[in-house]
Amino acid sequence: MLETIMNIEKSPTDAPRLPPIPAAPEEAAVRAKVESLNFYYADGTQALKSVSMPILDRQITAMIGPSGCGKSTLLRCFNRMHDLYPGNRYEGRISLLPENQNLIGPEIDPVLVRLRIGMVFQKPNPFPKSIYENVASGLRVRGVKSKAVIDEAVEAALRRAAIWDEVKDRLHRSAYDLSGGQQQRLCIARALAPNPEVLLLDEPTSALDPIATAKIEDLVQELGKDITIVIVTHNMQQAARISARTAFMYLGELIEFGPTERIFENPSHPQTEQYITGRYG
Amino acid sequence: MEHTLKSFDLALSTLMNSTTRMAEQVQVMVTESGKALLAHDVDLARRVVESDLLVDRDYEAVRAQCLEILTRFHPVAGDLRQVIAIEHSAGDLERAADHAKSIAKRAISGLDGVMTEQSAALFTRLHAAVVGAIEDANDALIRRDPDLAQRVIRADRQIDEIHDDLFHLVMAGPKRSAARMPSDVHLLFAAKSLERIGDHATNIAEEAMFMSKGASPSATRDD
Repeated sequence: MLETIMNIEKSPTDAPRLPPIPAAPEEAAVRAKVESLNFYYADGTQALKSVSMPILDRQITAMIGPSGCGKSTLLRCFNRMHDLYPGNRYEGRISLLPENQNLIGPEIDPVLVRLRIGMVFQKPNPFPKSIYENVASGLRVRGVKSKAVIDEAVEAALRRAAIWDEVKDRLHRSAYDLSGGQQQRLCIARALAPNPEVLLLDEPTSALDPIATAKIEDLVQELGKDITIVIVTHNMQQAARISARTAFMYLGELIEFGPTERIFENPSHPQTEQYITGRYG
Repeated sequence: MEHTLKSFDLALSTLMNSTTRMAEQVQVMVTESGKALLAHDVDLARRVVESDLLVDRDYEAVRAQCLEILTRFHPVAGDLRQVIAIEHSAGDLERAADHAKSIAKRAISGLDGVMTEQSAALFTRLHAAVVGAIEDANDALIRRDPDLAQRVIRADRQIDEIHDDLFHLVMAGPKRSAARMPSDVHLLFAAKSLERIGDHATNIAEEAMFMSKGASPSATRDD
């Protein structure tokens, strides 16, 4: 009795033990696989060295690393941007699943790849056309001619890009009349119009103020629920906030890839730790 | 390796300095509260009670610094774990200081009766083990030494055993007069405070392991 009084915290209880924490949900399916990818620029510089990583379906994958590490180069491989310049060379595979199509295979038409893999760049780059025509252009490339179909798709894309309410009354005004943040969301709408399977974002907020950045981040997270997104960012807090997986690259190599929480709480590789904690160089 | 951002290094080293100062102050309180009780040194006990205010002030300072670092520098990885581990450990240090203050207050007001030789010997052993645990736990935290932290965690069982021995000795010993009862109860509660300080030392050691390795053994600890 007295012993219980003195050591109450150690006396046994009949309170039921908590059930074990359930195992993490099954990992998302893999949408694309980068396999032993090497990339050489026309002058012979090797910009990517045997990079292999999965891209998870309907998840946001962030790529971080210092300038020149190859993250934008890798992003541009996905939609064959490097084909625009002669002499650039790929080795390895980027397989789009489930059909296991090699996106960088010479037999694949880069234009068709770009219809499936949309891209948004650092600086908003709307066409010198109306808001409506900016979004419609991707559909016209696909051969869609029906005005009714295009009207519907333009509205749907602008709604998905969370800009419809701001532009619905001025669809035929120049896209250049929009603010920087609105232009960037228009570019996202333009990329979304053909219903791409993967959306590539190359530092999409680096030219924007914090409010426009927050709107884009919210939008990207919302889109990430039903589209596969790969984002390159210099803003590590942004990578930590929005992505499910993070890849750290350095000097053309993939140093570490894993769940974003683990990368930012307890990275495995000392180079990752040095970079993300600001001890680089 | 230093941060590219020097102000971040400065903020982290300032935090470590404040933590070290707080930890040393708590060690002194734990050491002197036990000494005061054993030697019936009321003056020493009063100084322990007074120094608790300094620890409370240090605690506020450490927490404010942690919050400021989180706000200003958005630490990640090892830096984030350091700030979190220190913020948690500061809470354990503050509680340990409260227990030391309780022991000192018992020395001032309650323990006027003479302890038996055996009780004094066991209390001395318990006190030495707890002082060792809190010193090692603080060292493990400040020097980032997971091996030392592991030893503190393992040694906590010995502290519990000495505490139990003292309890049984007082309860099962020769019957003492009713007038002696209050001082026996004070002794048992003082021993309980030491045992609790040992638990806080274990928590700090676990934080030191988390800081160094990104994982703490607490998840698998069997309570």
